[in-house]
Amino acid sequence: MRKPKDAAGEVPSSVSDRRETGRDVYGGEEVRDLQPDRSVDCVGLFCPMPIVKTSQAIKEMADGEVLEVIADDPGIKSDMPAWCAKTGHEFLGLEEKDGEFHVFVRKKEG
Amino acid sequence: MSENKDRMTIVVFSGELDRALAAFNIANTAASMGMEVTMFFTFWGLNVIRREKGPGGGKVFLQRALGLLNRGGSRRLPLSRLDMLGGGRKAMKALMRRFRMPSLEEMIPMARDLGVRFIACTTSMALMGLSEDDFIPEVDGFAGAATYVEEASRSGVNLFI
Repeated sequence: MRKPKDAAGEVPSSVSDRRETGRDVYGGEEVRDLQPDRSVDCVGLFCPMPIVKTSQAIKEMADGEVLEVIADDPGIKSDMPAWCAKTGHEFLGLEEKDGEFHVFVRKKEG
Repeated sequence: MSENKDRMTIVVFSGELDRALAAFNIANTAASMGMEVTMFFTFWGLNVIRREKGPGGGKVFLQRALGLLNRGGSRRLPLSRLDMLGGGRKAMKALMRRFRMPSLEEMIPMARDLGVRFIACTTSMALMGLSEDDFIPEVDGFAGAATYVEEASRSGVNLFI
């Protein structure tokens, strides 16, 4: 069984990292190569809908499957790592494409 | 009795649309993050979960007068600022629709689907001459402050809105 991530430690805050580097820390080749098992379109939706829809989708998925969430509310950059830290699902990364954020989450085992 | 970080209580004291939206937004987000959430509705906050019907009853003249002025129902709630006799709330609702934000009428059943519990305060009900029939069927229970304090004492997050 995969160990859930610690709320305080492992998941970095995209907000503070952005401040330091001037760009988004998540993204890059490893995220681009991910093949999601399911995708949820939250473009045009605001808080709390992306998180509510993520939570609903992940409940219907099998352990270890990858969920892609597409949103255009920049709050998702901080909210999805926070949601993962609280629920124990794995935050895989985020890619910004044409003003949309593609976020990838792996469902925890068990 | 130990504190549970995965439990949240929210006291909804205010009967305004904007404050109720904030309360339900946090409740629904927390429930989506796996937390057990209980909302306690008291005083003006009772209006958020009241049925939309005629003026409230009550045995005493002042209760009936209050009932005429203090109508319940989530769609009737004013804004806490810039309500302008209803114009402001209409504009705010139009803006929320324009940006596809869920209305309070959508947030309440959403909260229920996510497992959020609703408790109405019996003391405020007695004061305002309201009975259990005056509330929407989603309300789980009717209780007093001790129920809230007991639950709050073992919750990691307690809000008063």
